[in-house]
Amino acid sequence: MANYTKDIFCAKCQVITPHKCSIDGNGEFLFECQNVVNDIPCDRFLKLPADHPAESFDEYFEKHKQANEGQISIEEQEKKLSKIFGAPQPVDTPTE
Amino acid sequence: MAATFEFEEDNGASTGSPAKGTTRTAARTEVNWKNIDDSTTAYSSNPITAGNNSYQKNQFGHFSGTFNQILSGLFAHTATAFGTGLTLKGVPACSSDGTRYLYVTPSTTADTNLTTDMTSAISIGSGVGVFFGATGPEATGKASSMTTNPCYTNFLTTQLQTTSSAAAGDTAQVTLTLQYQEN
Repeated sequence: MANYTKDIFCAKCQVITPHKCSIDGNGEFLFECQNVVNDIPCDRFLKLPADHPAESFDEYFEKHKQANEGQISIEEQEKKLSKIFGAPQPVDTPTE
Repeated sequence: MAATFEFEEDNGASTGSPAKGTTRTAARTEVNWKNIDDSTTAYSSNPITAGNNSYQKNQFGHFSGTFNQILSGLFAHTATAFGTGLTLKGVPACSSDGTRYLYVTPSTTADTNLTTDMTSAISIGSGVGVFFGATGPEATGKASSMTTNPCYTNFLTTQLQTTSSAAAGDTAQVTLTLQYQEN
């Protein structure tokens, strides 16, 4: 079967990446991010209902981008902080 | 004294205008995404098969008790990652009365009005904006702060979507946070 891809904003990668386009078992349109970072596939995906009008796919992808652009996961925040400030300090636990 | 807070949930066919669920359940303490639209059935009795989506979960916040004002609402997934093949979709930021999520009869079809990707845990400060209003989550008149008592958030609707690569068994137990201020 032929491969179909579309460039779509990925909420996890925070950039526009190629997404594999397919139709799943429910007839819904499935768009899976194909980005691989440090040998780890992104795995994030988008779904659209089977009856979603083809002419409004791009409108949905733009709404999706606007809703998710700038999102930073807690893991990414910690990576960024540890890169600048080094390993985190242990949290003090109160003693009796 | 302080405001009294609880999560509530709407289920069933969309009814009325503005639309809300046929059934409203108070004092919800969990969100179990499952293959049935109710707040009572055990999730293990109606699991989501890999590749399918859950029914939407239409929860919202309800404030009563003693307060002058409720304001500065934010909603986010704040702890614990989901596994492979799972995406949590949620309501867009509510930044005006016209941008609140409108209730639809829950189904397992991917809800395109849930535009926020809530799969990653983020800090609550980066969550989507939540507005408040009188009467119910469905009502018009939502604003960033509210003095009416009782008052309600807009719908904080979510849907778990999956692909065939989702693992069998329970998902990780994640934390969804609603933050607000009161005075």
